[in-house]
Amino acid sequence: MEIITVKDLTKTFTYSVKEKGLRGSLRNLFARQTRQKTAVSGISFAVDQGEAVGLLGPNGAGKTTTLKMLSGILYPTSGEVKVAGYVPWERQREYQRRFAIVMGQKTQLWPDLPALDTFELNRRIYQIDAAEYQRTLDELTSLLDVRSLLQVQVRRLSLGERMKMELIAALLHRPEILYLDEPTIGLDILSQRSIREFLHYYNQQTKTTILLTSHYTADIEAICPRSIIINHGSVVFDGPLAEVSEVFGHKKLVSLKARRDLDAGELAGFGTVRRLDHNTALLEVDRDGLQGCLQRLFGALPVVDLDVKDIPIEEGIAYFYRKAGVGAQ
Amino acid sequence: MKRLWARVRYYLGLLGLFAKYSLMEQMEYRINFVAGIAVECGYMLIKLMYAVLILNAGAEINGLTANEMLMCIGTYIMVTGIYMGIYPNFWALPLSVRDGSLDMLLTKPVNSQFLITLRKLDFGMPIPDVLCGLALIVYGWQQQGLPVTFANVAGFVVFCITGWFLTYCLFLIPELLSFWFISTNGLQALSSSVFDFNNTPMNIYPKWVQRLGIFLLPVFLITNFPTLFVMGALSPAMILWGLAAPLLIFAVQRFLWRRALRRYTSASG
Amino acid sequence: MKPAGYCYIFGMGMQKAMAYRADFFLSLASCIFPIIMQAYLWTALYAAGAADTNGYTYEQMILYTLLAGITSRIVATGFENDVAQDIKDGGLNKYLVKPVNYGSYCFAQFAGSKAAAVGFLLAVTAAVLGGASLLLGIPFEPVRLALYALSLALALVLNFSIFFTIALLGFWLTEIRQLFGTISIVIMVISGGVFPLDIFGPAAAAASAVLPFGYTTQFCVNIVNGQLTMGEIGLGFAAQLFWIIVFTLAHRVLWWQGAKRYTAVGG
Repeated sequence: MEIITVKDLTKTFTYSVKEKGLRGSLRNLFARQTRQKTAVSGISFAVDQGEAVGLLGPNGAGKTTTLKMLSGILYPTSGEVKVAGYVPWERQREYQRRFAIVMGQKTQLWPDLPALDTFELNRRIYQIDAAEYQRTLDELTSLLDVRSLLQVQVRRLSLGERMKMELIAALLHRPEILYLDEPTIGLDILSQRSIREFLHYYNQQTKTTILLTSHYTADIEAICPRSIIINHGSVVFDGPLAEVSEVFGHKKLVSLKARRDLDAGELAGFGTVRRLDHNTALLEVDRDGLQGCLQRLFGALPVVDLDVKDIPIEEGIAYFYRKAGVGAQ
Repeated sequence: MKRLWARVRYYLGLLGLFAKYSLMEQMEYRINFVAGIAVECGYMLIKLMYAVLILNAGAEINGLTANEMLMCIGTYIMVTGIYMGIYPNFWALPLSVRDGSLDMLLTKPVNSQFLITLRKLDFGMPIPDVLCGLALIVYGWQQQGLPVTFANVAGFVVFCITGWFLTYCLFLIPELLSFWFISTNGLQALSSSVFDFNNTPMNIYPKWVQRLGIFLLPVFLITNFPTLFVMGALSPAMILWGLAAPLLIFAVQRFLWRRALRRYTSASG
Repeated sequence: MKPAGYCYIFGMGMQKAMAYRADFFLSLASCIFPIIMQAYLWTALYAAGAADTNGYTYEQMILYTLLAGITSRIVATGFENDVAQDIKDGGLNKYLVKPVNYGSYCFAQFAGSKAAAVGFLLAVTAAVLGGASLLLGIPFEPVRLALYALSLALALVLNFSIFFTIALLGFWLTEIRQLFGTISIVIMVISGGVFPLDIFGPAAAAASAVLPFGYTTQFCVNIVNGQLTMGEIGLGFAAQLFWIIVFTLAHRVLWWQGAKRYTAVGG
């Protein structure tokens, strides 16, 4: 069942520009010029209930803006959105009770109080039944392993601990939809991993719909079976992240090490040389002809070590990041 | 009716929690707390300087006795003092608009204006103003020999409350313009300088200024109406206006609030 | 940093002030209302007849109100918010690692941001003085006008030092920015920016002579309107210089202590 439907969603910001120098300032004092910046231009996608979808895109691609429109923080310039039957920016209480948003760069916790106090405030705001609240809180604190930190002032917590508290604060009312904007930004590897594992588990267990933006591919790989890449404000890829590098055709990477220094000429026959450094080289080879290629390699060169890899997902993503938006402008 | 009562209880409960949390926060920063009170004392003394000038001038100015004017000044000091109790929210609003920290508050299933303007309460700053204002009111009331009836006290309190409510709306409006302009310092300077007309009772000013301050931008209702009511100097029409004006301004303010949220750009998006 | 650098910062301050044009015009406009209010207040008080005005005639009082209103605008600050913000959110770090004196930096920017407004307000002052001498027949000696200009320059420096010192308290008071609005009103009034403080009796007059604040506004106004003798003016200049030195030392100490604390806490 479709829970999020986004159609031709567009958001344009107006900002004023100033000419350089004092003369520009003076002119600006009386006549101001404004420009428009399109952050999101006509994107459309749909998310099914219980899905976990990753939103990827370079900086300024409009991922966060999209999430903010979905959560009703921003009004769109044009386009339609329905989430669980509601139009987010109408900010109906019923809708607001059904979703939660966590942003890596913003906080809802009161910094000078223990996180437990913010939780209590949320309990009152969302009118959560006391017994139910206690059950949810127990479950979340033990899953995230922060029970001993509930009474500690938030500003004394580490970044990772704070993010876990943000997650708890967001999930206390058991939202059906969870928006996550860079939830692991700036965290150490261990915190990143435990938050990833938690989100994956939570999505599996509760069938809460998750829409996640992140710059860490590992986040997306761990949590989201499906990814949408946005660039220049529009959707350029939609599918499992693992398939993102298939834009390069069915290629493999072969890295090899020989007993002597290699030269480009003798490698050219096997595939595209990506890197060559003394006795090591990286070749791009067609997957179909891989077996024959490897046999010929072993025959022709004094190979010491050889490794066959997929083209890294990052390369596929980078390709889409560079690609101009389809249908943009 | 029952649902309304449930809503009132819901919001009062939240307000109580805000009060508790704000107090806990303030206990963390005791120097701030004391500094706030000290600065507010200074401000109160400034407002008292006007009282001194008026008392020095003599017994009566344009129909108000010195005691009645003391009551007016006391009302102004008390009401604006209570406003200082929620001032941190107002002060932070333009900053929050600029740095996008309203985001999380806007996703909560409560009235956003309630959450944004009443979340942080300051318990220190109102203390000097409320004490001093009350003292002036009681002193002026007694010296003037005005009758202490239930109707008088109730009327005085009601007009103080509407005055506080007007203060809330009239100070919120310029802050709301921060959704349209990056810096609202100039506007705040302008609005607080208009507010300064309340430093003295309105009888000091010529009729046309009084009319502007009663009907167009009803700032004079705050300082003068409670005292005028007790003096029996308010016509029924004026009493009605005194109760209607805050609602009218509130309607304007709510309209602006809704427009403002549409403009919100949530920085760093 | 070389003087050329500070000139550049001066220019930046000027541009910054003009970037917020609505602010620029509105804050100029906002000095009109208090003046109107004061004018009516004095009209009513003098009409009531018993104002203890310590030797000010009605005309002199109105003139004082006008000049003080404008003068307090001329010396008004606003940079204290930026300083406290820098202290609070760690923006100070970028100055601590650069070869620039933070105080001088702020002063250059402050001076730049004031330049346009001061120019405009001085023109208004000239108009007021011209009007006063035409309407009221009060002659203004050129010497006094020159001394007024000089006192204004020193008053600007003094007010900067006072507010810079207060802003540096932000090292210890985490939310001092909330208080700036009220602090600046209180300081404006005790500087004589609204009414001359000597009308509150000899004790108030003595206090304002001893305290630094009157030397940012009341002293300047009293030079032009002839309330001060030349000898008193000389003393006043000495007091301005004295307080500038005191506050400069004070903010040096606060800066030194605060920066030490700042780097210790890690910003």
